[in-house]
Amino acid sequence: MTAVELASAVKAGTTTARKATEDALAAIGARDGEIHAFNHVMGDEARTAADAIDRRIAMGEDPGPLAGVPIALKDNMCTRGVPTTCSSKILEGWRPPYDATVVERLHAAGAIVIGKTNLDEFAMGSSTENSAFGPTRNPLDTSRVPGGSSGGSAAAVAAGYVPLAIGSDTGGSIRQPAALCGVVGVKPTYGLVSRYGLIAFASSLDQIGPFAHTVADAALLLEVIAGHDPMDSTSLERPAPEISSRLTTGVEGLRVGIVQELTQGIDDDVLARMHEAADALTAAGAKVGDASVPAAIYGLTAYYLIAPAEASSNLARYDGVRYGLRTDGVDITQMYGTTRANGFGAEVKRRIMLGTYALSAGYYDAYYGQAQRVRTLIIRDFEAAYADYDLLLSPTAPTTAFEFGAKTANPLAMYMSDVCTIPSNLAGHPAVTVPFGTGDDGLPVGVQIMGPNLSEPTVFRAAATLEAAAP
Amino acid sequence: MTDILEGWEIVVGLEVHCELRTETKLFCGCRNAFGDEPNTNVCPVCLGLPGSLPVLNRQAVEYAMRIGEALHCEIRPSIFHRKNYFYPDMPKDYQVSQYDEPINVDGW
Repeated sequence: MTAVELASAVKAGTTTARKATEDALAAIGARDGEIHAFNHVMGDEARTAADAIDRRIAMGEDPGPLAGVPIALKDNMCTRGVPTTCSSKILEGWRPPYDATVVERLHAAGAIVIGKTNLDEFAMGSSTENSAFGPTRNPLDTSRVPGGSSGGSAAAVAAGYVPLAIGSDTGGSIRQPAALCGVVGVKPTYGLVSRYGLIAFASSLDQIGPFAHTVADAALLLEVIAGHDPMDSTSLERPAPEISSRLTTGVEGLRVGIVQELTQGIDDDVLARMHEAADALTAAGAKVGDASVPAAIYGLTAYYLIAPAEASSNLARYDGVRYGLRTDGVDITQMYGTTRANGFGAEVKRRIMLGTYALSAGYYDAYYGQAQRVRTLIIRDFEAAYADYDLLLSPTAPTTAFEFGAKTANPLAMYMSDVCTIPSNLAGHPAVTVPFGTGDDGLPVGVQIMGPNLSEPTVFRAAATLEAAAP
Repeated sequence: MTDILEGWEIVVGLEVHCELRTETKLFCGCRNAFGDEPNTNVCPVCLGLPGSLPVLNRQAVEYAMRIGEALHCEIRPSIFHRKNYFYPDMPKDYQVSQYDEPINVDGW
């Protein structure tokens, strides 16, 4: 059952929130020992919340558009009283005293938060192999990664535990795992969804977004979580967009450009699926052409200066003084050093060091400053492309899901997994991935649709068209 | 002694810290009050908890502009920078302050 159908059924009384919750918990219990999508299952909290929803329905109230729908939450979003670890030893067991704004909005919409999902530590990674608590397995082939960093959330939906999940996307961390797990994933326009309560990795790039089986479910969830939040100064001062009501209006007359720079270095079978998706849009009345975003070829390089730089600052607070892991030392300097040495994994340390170096005196302008100037070029090249095209198209990831250990020997090989997704984080504009067929290995392929800032209604229309045409 | 002093110009800089009389703190809604029980006028933002974000106090900006007027400054659009260092009294291990584009310049 989709989230849309489930919420309707709960409100109509043909099922209950409690039953939906028990079904989700049973599915998790049956299979998550193998998959490890969850760091923490909130059985008691979920049952209590579900019973409260059912009581309200019995009294004739409407608990909201997601009434009774179980949802999984990436473990880098604060949940009051419930462990929030970022899959790191340095926050193991930490219970925030507050809920992220996204969590408050989910509660207000009647959704049931069923648990916190696994991720690459502090959202740094593309396979969920960087989790300090063990990897998550791709439910479609457990010898393979689910992608990352939101691998747990992608797997929770792909495994059928829950119809909806929430992830965060800084360089592709929603879209790439969605593609590798065969589900829909969305990175909204920067500023559309509040980051208050999202544990920061790279503040100018991070965005929260939905995972779902269907475009309509993703639209519903995005409408619930989007919209201005006074607690986030980067939150756009506008209400949530209307997407669901315009989903089925089709793509007739829309101009769609295939971003040439993002078709380089892609596996042949993945590229073939993307061209078939382009053909499907043409068949549905869109005008498809070739677009160019020349500076996109510098996306990875700019990102791997900007993101680590911002991360080095955002992760300074994990110092053993007030919360989380503390390893004592003879003095504070040693305490700081051994706490962070023990608490952070290798990839986190690598990025903190890279970022600190890029921001250091004498290098700040040559590295961080230069990367930000390149970012402006990427933004301008996208703007030029959007003068000719309403939407842009590309593969979401260069390959299908890869095997555990296939890319861990060389960090740069892993970083290449995000070559198609990173430009959209640098530019800020929205991007959606839709499953579209499989590779030669039978594993899912995702196709990415991008649009100008705040064009979610148009992007989702194209996503819905591709969903209907998918093989 | 006067031979030693010749050729040297005495320059004195004053770094003045001034607490602003605002109702709430600079980046959050906690009461800007002194003398209360410890750890009562606190929230995730001023504690620098993971996930927290600052929201600038409008009154503080207005006071800064008034100070700028009083000191004949050019008052400009300004930005905040992070001054990153580790110290146990600083929850985020960075200070949020102004650096190369401050609100008031060239005063006297």
